[in-house]
Amino acid sequence: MSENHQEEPFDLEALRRKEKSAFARLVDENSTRIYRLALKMTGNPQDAEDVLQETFIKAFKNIEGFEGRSKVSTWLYRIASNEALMLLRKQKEGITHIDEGLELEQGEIVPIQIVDWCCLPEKELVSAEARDQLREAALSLSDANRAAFLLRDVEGLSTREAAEALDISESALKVRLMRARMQLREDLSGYFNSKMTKDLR
Amino acid sequence: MKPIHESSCQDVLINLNAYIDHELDALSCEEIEAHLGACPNCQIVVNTLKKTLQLYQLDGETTTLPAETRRRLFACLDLNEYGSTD
Repeated sequence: MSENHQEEPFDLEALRRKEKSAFARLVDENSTRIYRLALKMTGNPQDAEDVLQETFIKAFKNIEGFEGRSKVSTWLYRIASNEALMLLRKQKEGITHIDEGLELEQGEIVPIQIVDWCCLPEKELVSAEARDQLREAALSLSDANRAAFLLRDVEGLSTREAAEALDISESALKVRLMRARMQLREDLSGYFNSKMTKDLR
Repeated sequence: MKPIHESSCQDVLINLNAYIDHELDALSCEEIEAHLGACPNCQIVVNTLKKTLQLYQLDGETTTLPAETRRRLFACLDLNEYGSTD
């Protein structure tokens, strides 16, 4: 039931009439999730704030473009993802980008780290150091794979909604998500494995 | 007689996302679980992948919008009169 419009009551007509109170409510209800996406995409609070402001400025300007077929949050995620990806592209100008294939290659996702670190104490798993590690691992993903992962696994969008937000097919979304998830699992396994060996010493 | 499960590690990997997202049909799910019961390595991959996603969700839940960032957002949208958190 990802299409539950009752989750987000908002007055589309009031938004179209450019009523300030309706916009204020829209901003209030969505600013935290848009900021979180922007922050995790860019890894930088200043960039995240720029993306956040630009997202709502564009949303207000283009509210006629929102037809009400998808959730308003999905529409905002779409604008925000675009803004973040554009900003990152600008920052990386001149850096050669390696395009990944649209399909998973045979053997591309073979797991290397086989260590069961789930049994580590909770305080090790959520320590400040571990959270830095999470951030670093996510930022080491390609921008496209990170966007797919954040929308699907952190923001909790369905496959269809995340694909719509990124303007890609559902199968492309699934491939990016797979690459992201497996790479993050490898990275965290490496980190927590080193914690486990340290504990044993 | 029990059905013979043909599931290999590679099949598990291919269906890993769908399995974790509960998007697999009952039969495929059963095949994967039978394989996991017999293959500790695949079981570890599944467990650590699930835990990885859980830690990211947890981290996401604790991310908040700083009050100053919120104030500047409302200001730049000319919504100052609605920006108060009182």
